[in-house]
Amino acid sequence: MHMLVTLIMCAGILVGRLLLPDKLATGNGKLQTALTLLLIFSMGLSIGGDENLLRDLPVIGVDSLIFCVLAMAASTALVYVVTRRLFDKGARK
Amino acid sequence: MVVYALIALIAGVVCGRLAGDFPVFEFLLAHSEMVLNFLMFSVGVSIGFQKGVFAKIRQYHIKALIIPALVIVGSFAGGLIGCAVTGYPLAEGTAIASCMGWYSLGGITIEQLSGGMYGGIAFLSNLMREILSFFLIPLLIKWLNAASCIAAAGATSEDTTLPMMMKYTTEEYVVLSVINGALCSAAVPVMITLCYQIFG
Repeated sequence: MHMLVTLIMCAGILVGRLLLPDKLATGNGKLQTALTLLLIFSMGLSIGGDENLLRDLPVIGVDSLIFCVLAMAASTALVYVVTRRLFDKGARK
Repeated sequence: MVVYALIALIAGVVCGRLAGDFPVFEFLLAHSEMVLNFLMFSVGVSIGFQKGVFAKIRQYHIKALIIPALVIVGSFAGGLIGCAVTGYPLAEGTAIASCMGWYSLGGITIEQLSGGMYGGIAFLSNLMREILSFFLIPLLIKWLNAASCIAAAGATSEDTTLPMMMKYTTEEYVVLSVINGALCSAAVPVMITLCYQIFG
């Protein structure tokens, strides 16, 4: 299923780039928001229907924070180390 | 958007708790994969519409590509460390970290692949990244450099955290920030797929 998701997105990129007029961008953005909210609601349904999951919510919160901080820290550190040598360091106002 | 997303999530949890077997809800749960496919098509279309970004990438060459490449690698590596800390399976852990702050798409895609718990963690974790990076940008520009601010923001650097980039960095970094956000966003579904392919 996951490969299909990427292929569908690539098809969308081609259609957006080559076939559709730019004036559809606003409509497409609204459709995206609506579909996203519908899917988030649906994710809520599956979380709400699972009693164990609701009980484990505090643990889930801590684990989420761990993944957030580690992903952020690793990408920030990597970009800093590489760009410090390559880019202009004084890029601030 | 964050507020609407949280309202939708909480409403979903309440409805699932109180009336999960309601036919409309059961129908929605059974067909959520199809809705996700529609969403991915729409996401692709909006990437295709960003013709200005393609032109800017040509203008900035390697400089435009190096930050997103490092953000993708760094987030993936952060996910690996996260798995070591929490004991989560590698496919799920790296996929969660590889959402790079795009909490809505990450949450719902990972929920489809691994169920409500991992979907919930992907949602929360990446929502935290968006909020935290927003407030960290003024500190990162002081302690590190402008590129580090873009790195922390990840896929959100083209929309929600962009105003902070405008306030604290130069025009050049605002452009690099938009390019980074567009490329990281396009990479999120690809990276989720890759994580499950490698470790699944």
